[in-house]
Amino acid sequence: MPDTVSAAAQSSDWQALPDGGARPDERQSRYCPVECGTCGAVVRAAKFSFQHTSVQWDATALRRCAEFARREAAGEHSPLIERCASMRASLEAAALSGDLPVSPPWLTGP
Amino acid sequence: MTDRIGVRSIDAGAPPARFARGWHCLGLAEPFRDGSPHAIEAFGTKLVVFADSGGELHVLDAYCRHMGGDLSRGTIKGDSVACPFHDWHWGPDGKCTRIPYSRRVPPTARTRSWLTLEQNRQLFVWHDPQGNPPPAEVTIPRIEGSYSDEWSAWTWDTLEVDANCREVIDNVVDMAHFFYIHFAFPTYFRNVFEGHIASQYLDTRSRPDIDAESGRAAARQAGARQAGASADGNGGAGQGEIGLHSEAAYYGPSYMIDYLSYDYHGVPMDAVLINCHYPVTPEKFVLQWGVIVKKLPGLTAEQADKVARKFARFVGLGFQQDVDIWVHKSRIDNPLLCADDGPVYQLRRWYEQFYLDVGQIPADMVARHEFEIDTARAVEAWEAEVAANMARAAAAGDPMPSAAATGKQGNG
Repeated sequence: MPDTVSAAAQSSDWQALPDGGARPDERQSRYCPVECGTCGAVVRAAKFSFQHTSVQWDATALRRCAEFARREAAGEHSPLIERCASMRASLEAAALSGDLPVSPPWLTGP
Repeated sequence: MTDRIGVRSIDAGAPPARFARGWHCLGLAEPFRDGSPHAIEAFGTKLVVFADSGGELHVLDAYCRHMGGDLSRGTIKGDSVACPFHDWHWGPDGKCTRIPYSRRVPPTARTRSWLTLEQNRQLFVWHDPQGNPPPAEVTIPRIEGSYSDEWSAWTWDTLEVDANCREVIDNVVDMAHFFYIHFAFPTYFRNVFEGHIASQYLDTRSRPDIDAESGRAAARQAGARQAGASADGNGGAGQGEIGLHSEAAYYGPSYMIDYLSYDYHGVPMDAVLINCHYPVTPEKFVLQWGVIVKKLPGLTAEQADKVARKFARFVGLGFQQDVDIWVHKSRIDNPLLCADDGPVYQLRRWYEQFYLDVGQIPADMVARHEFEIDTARAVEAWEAEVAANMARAAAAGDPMPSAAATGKQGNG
């Protein structure tokens, strides 16, 4: 049987994107690119439900994010920023429009 | 990871042979300044901590390079620690400064000295298998409350745990165990991993079916406590209707600062909890926790210290339950997750950076990852469980069995 990592590689396309991504577990979900309506930063996101969100940033997106840049300039440190409000709004909009599928993860079985 | 008949197998793996790179807290600084050398077993060896004549703390390998004597059982002489075996003196930089019975010190008489840092009235050592100095950006941040008269003094507790320290790290993403192990009721749970920092944002409310002080079921007393709790200066979480907002972050592999804000029956309360550890061996670590609380108006320093101690006892109760789980559980490299679990794999991938040479860390290992759990289903299930516990206790007219047993009823 394949292990969970190779199963993930077969079933989703996000690993091929730059910077790899979060280490997959068996909760397979398609990570979709979502662009911020404010600054154009692109992250990859999955939603198991409307409340759940998993977001993978890469260095390019982090550099591009206007809110992080503004808050870092004011002395904050991005790892300690809970979220970017604009990106959250864009993720919600994408979920509502259907661009970002909202579906429980596909649990790989035996 | 299943066999042919579909039974899930546990991949227990093996703990890493090396220890994490990073600043590790050894405890409060002041107790090390009592005029004696102190032994710390860490990183697979023994260290000696001693204060020089100016009160500055230094850390050396404890075993004397002459004949292997234990410097931590020796004596501080001037700015050096002297071995109890043959009185060789070792200075803060690890150089042998004096051998009283000999004409000269061998040029190779040098032992390992460890880089130290004092921050938040605590002592830290830098551990790096590659021997590099600590980059400035991974330094331990200052907690203003630890230097302020408006806050209590630190409590400090330690617990030796016979398990690999990854177990305590896993807690960062483990939403559900807060209900079963820590008597809390999570309603909001979010993680952010980026660089050397792993954060957890958590809102909980108290469980009215559990008495936080004893860890026992307390349905019958809940009403009385709600009426009288604010008068007794009790800072423990988990009683009556106590709301808690927690922002916790690991700064590197072992030091977590947890900023806690309570709504204590309408009175805001602020506390800072340190949750840190250092490895002794790959199969053992020392868990430490400390608490400061902000003094409420009208509270004396003694009362504030008492509140902090009470809260620390409550935290300790939770840790003891964690430890009971850890020492009996299997190490598991392939956790089987459900849709409503946290990002265990992503956290472990973040944690792995501290076990790799700096040049080997892939960009995606430390890239920002956010994960927010949908707590709706959990809240629904736990509300029903708490209500059932309270109804059962009311019907029986007796306090119920221990919290652990109560949790298991709902779990099984």
